[in-house]
Amino acid sequence: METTPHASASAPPDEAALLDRARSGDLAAFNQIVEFHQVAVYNLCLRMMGAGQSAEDAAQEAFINAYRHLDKFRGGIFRAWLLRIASNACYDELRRRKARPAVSLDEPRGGDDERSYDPPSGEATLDERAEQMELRAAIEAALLRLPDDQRLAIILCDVQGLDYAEIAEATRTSLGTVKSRINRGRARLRAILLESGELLPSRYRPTGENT
Amino acid sequence: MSPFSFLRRHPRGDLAQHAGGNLPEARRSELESHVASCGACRAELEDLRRVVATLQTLPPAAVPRSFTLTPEQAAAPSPAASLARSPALGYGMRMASAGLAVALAVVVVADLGGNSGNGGGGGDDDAGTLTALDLTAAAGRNQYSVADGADGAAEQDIRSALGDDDSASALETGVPAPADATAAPTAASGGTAGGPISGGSAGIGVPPDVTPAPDPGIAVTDAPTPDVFAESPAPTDTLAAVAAPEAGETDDEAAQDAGTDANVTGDEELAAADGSEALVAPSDDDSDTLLIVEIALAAALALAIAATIYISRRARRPY
Repeated sequence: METTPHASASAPPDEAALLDRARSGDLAAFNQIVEFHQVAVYNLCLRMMGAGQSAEDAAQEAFINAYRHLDKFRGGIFRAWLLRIASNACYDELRRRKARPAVSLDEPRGGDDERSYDPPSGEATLDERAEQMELRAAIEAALLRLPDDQRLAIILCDVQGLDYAEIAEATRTSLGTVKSRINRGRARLRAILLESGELLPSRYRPTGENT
Repeated sequence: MSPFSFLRRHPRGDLAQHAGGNLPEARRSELESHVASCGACRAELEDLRRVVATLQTLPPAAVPRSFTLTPEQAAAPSPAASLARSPALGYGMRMASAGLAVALAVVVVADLGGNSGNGGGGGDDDAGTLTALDLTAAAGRNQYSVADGADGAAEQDIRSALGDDDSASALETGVPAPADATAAPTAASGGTAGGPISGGSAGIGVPPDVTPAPDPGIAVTDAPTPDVFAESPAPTDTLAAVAAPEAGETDDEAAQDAGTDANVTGDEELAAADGSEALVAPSDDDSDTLLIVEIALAAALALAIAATIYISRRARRPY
């Protein structure tokens, strides 16, 4: 799989040592770990819940919970453990939203995270670039319409670039489940995009050029 | 690979997996030969590749602020979050619920015992009797039924496995009063009044954000109507504590109807939160004190059960 913008490295080089120090109460050591992982954790929350305060809250809650339950981490990939805690925080919040639907209607979904938009490098023409941006926005919106489990799997795999084994660890499921959630999620994204008239390649086929 | 591969269903799952570049080698060649002969799959694969490529290049958003922990965040567990997840607290609340149930049963027995000691037949004693107090707390989808029989075996009367969705949900039939009233073996010795207090929302003491607001109709559809009085074999001076869970009426109206004293209306947070009404008909001053104690204990028990439910819901998170 190609590297994605997220998949720079899964852990700081001295993570084990930092974890040991954090476990014995060294908050500064833990905060170094936080700084390393906070983009991945925050982006997971953002993609799970859409832009808004709740993504920020879930990310903060995840780090607080991780620090307090550090003794429960027994080896394995720390990032996967951390992302599991983060996705649990997201599920909690999403469950609360379902209990009080009024809140989720008010909540801006998939809105203002474009501020950090980073134009794709390369030789794309202006038109292609505009099209690409439109597709991005559409996919971000479509992601939020996926079932929670599929959305989580897609974010971890395609957006954050984790491999199947790490996703299985992060979601406490089997490889087979991970695989099928990702496959169904991708197919569903395509269906949502086609339904909303997005410019996927297959749309050009029957009618030819239509833009 | 077979010559009839074009007859197969379109390999949707493989297509989606292949689009991400993670289809195992063995299946890849088979898929590619199918795609070569199937226009629909070719188009789908192209779409899926575009979807995956776009997902992979979604730029990560910058963090809006640093999430490093302050010493306060690291040190002081927020009472709601960490206490509520403590198994010890959950155990404590269960014990508290059981203790309150026992206490309630003891008071009820004392009340009843006073009657039967005086009059025996139950028809001529002054003290009111409250033979069965049926408390049903429906929290979210769970319904918990606690029946304090007059025999005092209160612990067995906690017929709900607190915090256990599956067994608790089997108790939904606990709502109608008569079934529980007949379960009290000594009910025959005194007057009988089935008195359900329905904890409709169990919102007491529970932060509103974790309590899914139950359909108010659920708890009240089978609510006993005031003709419980008519069916009661109790003599006229029987004291009946009946909370008919009718969402439409307020506790104040109920209190006025029944002519109870201010202490009873003090429990109106409970009743109001429950969306039920408390119909209390004291017949005698002596019985008032016991009645008040009973109601207070019932309220405390409802609170304890609600807290236990809340805790058990929060305690499930494994890390």
